[in-house]
Amino acid sequence: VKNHLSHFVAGFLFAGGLAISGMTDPTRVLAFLDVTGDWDPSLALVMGGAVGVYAAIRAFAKRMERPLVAEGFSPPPAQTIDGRLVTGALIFGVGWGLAGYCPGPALVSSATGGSQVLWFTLAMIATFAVTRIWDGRVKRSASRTSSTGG
Amino acid sequence: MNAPRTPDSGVSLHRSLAVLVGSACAISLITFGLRSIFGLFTDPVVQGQGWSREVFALAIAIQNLFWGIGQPFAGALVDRFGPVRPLAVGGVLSALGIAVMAVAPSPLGLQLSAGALVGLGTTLANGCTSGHGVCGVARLSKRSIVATVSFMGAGMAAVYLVRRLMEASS
Repeated sequence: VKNHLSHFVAGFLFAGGLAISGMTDPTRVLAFLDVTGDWDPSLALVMGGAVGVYAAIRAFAKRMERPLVAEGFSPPPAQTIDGRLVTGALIFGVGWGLAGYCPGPALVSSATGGSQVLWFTLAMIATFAVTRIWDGRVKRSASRTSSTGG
Repeated sequence: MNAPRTPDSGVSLHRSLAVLVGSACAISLITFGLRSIFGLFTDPVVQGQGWSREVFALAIAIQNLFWGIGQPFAGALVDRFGPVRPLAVGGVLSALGIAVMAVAPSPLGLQLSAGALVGLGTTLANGCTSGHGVCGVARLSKRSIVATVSFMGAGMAAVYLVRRLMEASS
């Protein structure tokens, strides 16, 4: 129960932060990306502020033995830079630049019930699912060929 | 009477050759015709959507590039799964593409395709603005810094393309 509550509080905080900073408004995101036009740098300040807060909390958390509400800290993620990472980031960037939504703000904005953001979120979630399934298949067939091929 | 016909008996060779050539022609006619007939509709599309020639020419150029890029992969899929499934999936994708084109300038098509791109990119890259851009950068993760620079660049390029080039020329 404590765990669910912490999820809820964290989600509430995140959604609130996005809404207050104006990051749920796609026109502001697009204005930030429009460096050759009427550039609005406020998103950089939001991200910079978030990076600062996270870095400070992380420095503090590193000295704790275990997290407040979870069993343990997650192991550090992979450090390899591969084509998949860069391709994925580029594809994400194009979609982000077209619509002005990234996953978090899209979900938060869906609460407003606007038809455009609902369509966006629907397509996004459907693609999450399709990519995961496809990914699982590729990994399964790869492990099959490697186990039979030796 | 019903003697087994072997390819080296004169008449059946003639006939099977005719069937072969006829089938090949029919396949080319149907598949290539589907693409070639597109030329008939381009003028009405340009007029109907109010696009400039440059915008439409760019779209068709991109389509031709992807057509070429897709060929070896489609061929590999046919080698692996046989012709029926790739053809069926290709037909569905083609129809979907044309349907999206019909509604492309409308917000719906834009949101659907952008949503799909964001979904695909986020899954492939294992994160986006929050995961890589905030948490990863704060940890000074090389992976996240590369991802953040990549998606910022791609996002700016997309906005530049849409706002500066397409809207300026239409």
